[in-house]
Amino acid sequence: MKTAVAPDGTVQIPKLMVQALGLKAGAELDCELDAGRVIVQPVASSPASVARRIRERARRWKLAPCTNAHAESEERRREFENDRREGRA
Amino acid sequence: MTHLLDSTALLAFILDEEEADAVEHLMFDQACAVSFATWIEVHGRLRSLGLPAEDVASQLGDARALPLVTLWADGATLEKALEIKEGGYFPFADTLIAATAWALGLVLVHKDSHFTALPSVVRQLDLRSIPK
Repeated sequence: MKTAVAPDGTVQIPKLMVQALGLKAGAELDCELDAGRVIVQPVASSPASVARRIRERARRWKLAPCTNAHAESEERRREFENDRREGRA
Repeated sequence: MTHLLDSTALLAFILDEEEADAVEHLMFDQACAVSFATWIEVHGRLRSLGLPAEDVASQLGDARALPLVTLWADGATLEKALEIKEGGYFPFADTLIAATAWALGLVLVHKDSHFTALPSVVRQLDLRSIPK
């Protein structure tokens, strides 16, 4: 599979390869050079880095206008409580 | 293991709510667990926020990698769940979660007013009572 160096100097890994590796958006990768070859592999995440990623993602949701996370209100919180009470959550 | 995070506590962390720091400290400074029922509730809650399915999957996948032990219901949990139900109406998931904490003598960490109705023998930490 071929790819190319973009004008900004970066190289994009083809989507099919990313999918084949089972990587999700936000997955961290280690890139290293080895005798002229580029080796890219998933970072084995530490619990602390996982925790950081979770909170960063939640902060992005709060800012995103396309989700309800940005408008999380007491009313929605109460809906969740009601759902819990009635076994729907 | 010392603490059991209720769904409301884990969600406070996953949604970066006011109590997220307190939950993070507990997860990293104490040995924490969650009931299997919590994963189902957390999934439902994330879906209800209208987030893309991939985002829900990523957040849930990452949450499963946190230093938390998942506890499954056993005979002792059933006994405690029946005792809670004897005390009056209590939501099903809350019953399972509280019964798990009670059966194992864990401190139930939450921000859910339902739990005030639990027998006093169940040790609790209401995150809302921690000074910010």
